[in-house]
Amino acid sequence: MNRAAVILVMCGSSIATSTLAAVKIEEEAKRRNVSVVVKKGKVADADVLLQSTKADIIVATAVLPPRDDVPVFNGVPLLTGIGQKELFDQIFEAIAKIKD
Amino acid sequence: MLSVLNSLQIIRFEQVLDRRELLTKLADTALQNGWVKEGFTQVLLEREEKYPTGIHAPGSGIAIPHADAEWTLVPGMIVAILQQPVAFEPMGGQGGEVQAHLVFLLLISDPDDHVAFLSALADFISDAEKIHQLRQDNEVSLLLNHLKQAGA
Repeated sequence: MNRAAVILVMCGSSIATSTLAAVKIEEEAKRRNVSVVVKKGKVADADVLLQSTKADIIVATAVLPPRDDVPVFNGVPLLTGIGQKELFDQIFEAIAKIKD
Repeated sequence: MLSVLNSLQIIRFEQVLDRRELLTKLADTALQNGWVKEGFTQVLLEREEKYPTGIHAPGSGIAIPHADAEWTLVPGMIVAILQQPVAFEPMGGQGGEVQAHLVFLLLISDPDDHVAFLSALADFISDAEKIHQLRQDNEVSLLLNHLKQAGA
């Protein structure tokens, strides 16, 4: 892939947890030397946001039904640290598989 | 920019409370402090039902209830230390009911202004030892020092 992967991070209000998750993903992307663009939003706006951001993957800290179009990951491990490494591995594995 | 740390309050509850009672008490306190707009209590209760904030943190069950930014007048945080745990539904829907011993009511006006605070708070809730210490000592200074050291 020759462009930055777009990650859409969502929570209920787009205030607290999506902000946190976004920061952690950006830091990890830097560590792994992967270029990403992280966008934030509310899960209620998922459809609109997916269209406007053209996101490649979604990380949500609120319940979001699985989708056919893009992979969805539960972002709660980014808040507690529990299972965080595994989640990062899954996220960046999914990014590596993205085609242009 | 106002720091969340300027408006930090810790309340200890000994009595048995359910989730609505606890959230109402915390929201009403925020209202009395002048930190949120009229109507915040109802919004907070509704939002918690729709988007639960219980978290199975390493040291204890916790919850981080909050509402949309437009309801916040003064950025701040009210922390409830609960002698009797209060049940919250899990954020993200996984892991089953959370028995919360600590509840952090977040009052955020603009998330971009408070990234450092939110990161510092995440570090705090990920640290089992600090969580235990806060539950025992219920000292504002412990929490405050951690958040300050973490750059909040």
